[in-house]
Amino acid sequence: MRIKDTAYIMQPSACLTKQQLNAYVLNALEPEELNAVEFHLCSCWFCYDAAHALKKYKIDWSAHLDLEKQFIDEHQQMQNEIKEEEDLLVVNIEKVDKPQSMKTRILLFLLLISWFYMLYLLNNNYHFYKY
Amino acid sequence: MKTTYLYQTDEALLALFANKKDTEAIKVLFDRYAHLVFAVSFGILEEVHAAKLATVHLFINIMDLADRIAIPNFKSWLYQIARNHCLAQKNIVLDTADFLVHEKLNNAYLQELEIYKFVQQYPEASNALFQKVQSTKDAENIAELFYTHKKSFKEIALLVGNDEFSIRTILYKYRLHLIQAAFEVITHQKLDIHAH
Repeated sequence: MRIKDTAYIMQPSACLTKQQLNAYVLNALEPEELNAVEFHLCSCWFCYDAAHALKKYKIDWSAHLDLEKQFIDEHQQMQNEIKEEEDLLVVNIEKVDKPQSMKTRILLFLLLISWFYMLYLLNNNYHFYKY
Repeated sequence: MKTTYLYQTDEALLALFANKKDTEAIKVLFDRYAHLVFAVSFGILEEVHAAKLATVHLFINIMDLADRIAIPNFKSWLYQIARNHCLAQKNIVLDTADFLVHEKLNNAYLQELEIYKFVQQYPEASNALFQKVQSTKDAENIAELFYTHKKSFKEIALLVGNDEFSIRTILYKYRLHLIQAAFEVITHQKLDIHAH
């Protein structure tokens, strides 16, 4: 085998298309195309397994190989809706756990001060009665 | 469909979907591999409707998993999970040997990529590389019939007196041997790149 051939053998090739796969199963490929397909089958187990499985039944597979891909958008839309709902839930939880407003804080602070003042007064009164 | 996506690698398309949630990327992958997944599933499940369902389930799983796992070689991974999914449906338990075969396939593919990169990078050294890995096995005659004389599996099988499956296996092993030998030359730096 020549060096040129060796380089050619190691060339990577693309996987079979639907048309190529169907034509290979039906033995409807031209010699040149058949060689290209078999060239790829020599390096790819995925395509070889696929061709081998379909070759058991020599029927026209083209109708079955054209699979609907509408589900991709539908699934993604569903996932987006789920994500939006989850985000909404997170926002609501954040709202519940929201820290007190400035007004409440000031009121609490004033209440605390008034408590200290009361304690101070009580303390002074105590001393007053004491002496 | 975005035409630029048609020229992207599988891994790049998967990354595009994982990052931007662009369904067009998954559609391109679906166009590339759905028919193969269907055929492999049909081979195991032996039922058209079940095989179609398995294909759809598999792509839904890919969409859900895309941003969670890193896949270095999409094609090999897809083949592996398609088979596992269908075998699991048929309650066939995989043994360790099956996992080892997949590991081997994955490695061969990655080695192939390395060689391809090397040949692209040093085209002048590629001849010397292939000279180093010339095989002297019996398979060479079959390889010559297939690669040089462009004979089909069927024709070679008739000439050699063997079945088509064996011819394909011999050619697969022959190619794998060349790839592994070339990979060894590259990794162990047995080639003086600058001499050529």
